[in-house]
Amino acid sequence: MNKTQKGAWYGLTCLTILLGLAVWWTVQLFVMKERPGWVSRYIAMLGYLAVLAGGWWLRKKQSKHEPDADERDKTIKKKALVAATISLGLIVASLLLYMYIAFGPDYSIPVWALAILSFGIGYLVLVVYSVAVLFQYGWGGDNGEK
Amino acid sequence: MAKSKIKNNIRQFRFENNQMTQAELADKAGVTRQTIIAIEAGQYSPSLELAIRIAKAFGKKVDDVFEYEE
Repeated sequence: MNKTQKGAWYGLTCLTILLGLAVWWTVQLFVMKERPGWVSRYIAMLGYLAVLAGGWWLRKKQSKHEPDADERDKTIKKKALVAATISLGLIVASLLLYMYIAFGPDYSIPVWALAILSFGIGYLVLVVYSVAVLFQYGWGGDNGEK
Repeated sequence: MAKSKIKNNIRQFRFENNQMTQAELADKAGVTRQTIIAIEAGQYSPSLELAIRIAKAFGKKVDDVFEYEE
């Protein structure tokens, strides 16, 4: 795998780990109304260590002459960015439409819900970007590699 | 990705050049191994600049290595 592919896998994995941990802790703190126990804390610590260890894997090159990104990588990133931008528009538009239909034009949402929605939209857009990159590479599988 | 109309003889030239690996060719052309794999499989059409660099790595002209399929 080259750096761009690894970056996409890393982004996808880290975002999922971090989102999972954030959701888990939020549920524990605000829904179950209890402080995270030691198992929860150790798993969270392992998750953050996994994210850091992934950073080392990301820096490793296939050969010492390998460029960070060549012309094909740049084209792939550009197309993925277009896909992510289009998905941002579609997600925001469909969310607004859904809220308009479900709650009406005069409904208001609390500030914390807006923050969660913003992070959720950001997460979805980054997932679309990473998936678009990996899709164009053929998911980093054999892809005819010999 | 769709197959490109540019055909190439990279595989043949690699074997004629002392069984050069895709990684060695990638280093000589200044790209990643995945790009060489994609070009060789006809999944990606390189820029003119990259095509010249690949041809130079074999000591050949661009049209010896690449041809356009009508």
